[in-house]
Amino acid sequence: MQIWAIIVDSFREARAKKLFWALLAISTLVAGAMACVGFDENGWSFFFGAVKKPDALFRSGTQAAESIIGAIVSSVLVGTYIGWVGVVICLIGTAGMFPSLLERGAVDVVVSKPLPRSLLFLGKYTGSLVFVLVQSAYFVLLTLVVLRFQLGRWLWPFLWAIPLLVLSFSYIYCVCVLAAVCTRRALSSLIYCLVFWVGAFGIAELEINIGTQEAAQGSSVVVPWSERGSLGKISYMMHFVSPKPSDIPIILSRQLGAMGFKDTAVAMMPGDAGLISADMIADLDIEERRQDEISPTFSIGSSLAFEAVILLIACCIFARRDF
Amino acid sequence: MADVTELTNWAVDLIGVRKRYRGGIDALRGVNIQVGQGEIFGLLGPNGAGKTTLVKIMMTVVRPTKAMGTILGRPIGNSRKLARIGYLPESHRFPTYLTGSQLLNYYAALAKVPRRIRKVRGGELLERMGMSKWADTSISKYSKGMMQRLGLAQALMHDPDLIVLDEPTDGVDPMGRRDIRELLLDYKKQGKSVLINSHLLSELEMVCDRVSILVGGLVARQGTLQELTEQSKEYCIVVSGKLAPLESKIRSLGGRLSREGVVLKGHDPEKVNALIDVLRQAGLLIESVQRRRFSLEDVFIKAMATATTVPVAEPVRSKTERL
Repeated sequence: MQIWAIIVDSFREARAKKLFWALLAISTLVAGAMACVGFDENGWSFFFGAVKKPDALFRSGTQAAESIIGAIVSSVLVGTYIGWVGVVICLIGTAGMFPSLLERGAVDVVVSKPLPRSLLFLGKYTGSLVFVLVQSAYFVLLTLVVLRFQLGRWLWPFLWAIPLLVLSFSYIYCVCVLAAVCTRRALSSLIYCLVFWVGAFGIAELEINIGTQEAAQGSSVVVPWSERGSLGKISYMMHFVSPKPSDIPIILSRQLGAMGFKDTAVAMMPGDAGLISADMIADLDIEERRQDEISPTFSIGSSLAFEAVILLIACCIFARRDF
Repeated sequence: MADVTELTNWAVDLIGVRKRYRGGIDALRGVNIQVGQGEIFGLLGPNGAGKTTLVKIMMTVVRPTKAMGTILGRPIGNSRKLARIGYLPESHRFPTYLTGSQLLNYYAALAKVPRRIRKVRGGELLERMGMSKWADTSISKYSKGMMQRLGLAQALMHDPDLIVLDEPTDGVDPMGRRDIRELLLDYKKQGKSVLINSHLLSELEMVCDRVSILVGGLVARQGTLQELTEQSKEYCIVVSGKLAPLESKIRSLGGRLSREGVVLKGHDPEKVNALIDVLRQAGLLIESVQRRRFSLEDVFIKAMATATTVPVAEPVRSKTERL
């Protein structure tokens, strides 16, 4: 009863903010923009058929047309919107939740109720995740419907975007909560977590640059521990313990790929040797193989372990603090 | 067999409560306070005396450096007992995205009040506070006095046995203050205990059975209003003529000279008559004889001035101690 009350209250708090509605509007716009681009039997169709551009290659039902839609899904929806834009907006929307709970005069009432502070903390945290869950569910379901009309079939694996977006958000939000518990300020906690996020991406990039090698087909492109220098080992360790939000779009893309849904970058580039150099193709091959070696279990498991440690620290501070 | 601590008559029995904040600031230096069952107890003191810290320690908002004793028969800090304590903090901030009834429902849910009882009691309390027609209005539209009434209602939602109020009439108009007084007296009649921390001495004087005056983190004076004001009873004899030659005689009879005339401590008619005889024999004209009793404000100011640092209540052995 108590935890449900906290979750409902957190959602009410989020709903009371203009940002909640703004985010829904942005999601609608993105899905609407996506719906504007389509194909008919003669070629391209824009603005729901208002503008048409005949094209022999890109017509409805062709592999080429599906690849274009795949490219939009992969780079715009998964890579950009779910990968970071949506997370940033959700962070902005929820950064104030813990500071508002911890405001003088507000925190006194709730911590004097007969519930453990740890439960209050977890309830508020879950409430923030519910906000993101609602936002991501709205966006993904809307997009799913749009894709249904564009592809002529339901792209059910795209539903994985809902939990994965919440997961990606939670990796970073835990740092925001820790900062909020320490500083009680929304802006500073938001800045801390964004800086941390950039750091997490930096660590991932470092590991890609140092820990990836050219290797024969069938062998690993990840440099083994024994062959790494000091920097390589440090990079590996840092990457091992840090959250891995940059893996989320890759994991989601893999889920989409498993349904025979190939994005343009993978499907078309190798055959387009006239535009892309052999080195670039080799790099893309290494990157594709590196991505294939990412274990969702390890990536999500280690990120959740990091999140659990940060939340435990934040919860201990919250539980022992004088207000 | 009942727990020994459950058999106490005190609703609040605090012994040697100490609080040292970071930086070595001693907010409380060993406070002993006892609040009886069915008693309205007033907590007085200047700013920085430690009143709010004491209240926050009782409500587990602040952790004591050292504290012994019980609240409702359980050790200080027992979170389950908080279900039987209602609390209105000073300068509270309630979530402005809620309506009055939503707020009562939320806080009552945190206090483990079943849903169907919450609805009924919420309506009753809003009615009692004269706020029924504002029940579904957003709190952001409430005046300060309305907020205070709502705060009091949330403190009473779970039908507590002990009500702790920090400046309950702050911002409330005279009619509202009277309503609050009557409400507290009603609760007292029901056998519930009330602890009020207030600067408004006249308000306390009207409802409190006993008061405690905190100065510099220690109890300077504690007792019933009668006990505290008993020591300040006196006669004041206003005369015309020169008193200086009679000073030694006046002193020998227990009186002293003041700017108003002659002051005699206590309410002993024989002594005052003897003093009048002396004055009349000296040819002085008696203009008036006033029987005076100090108000709580006088006692408070005197306690502040003398800043007695010896606790009035002897520490009692307790089975519980929390560090």
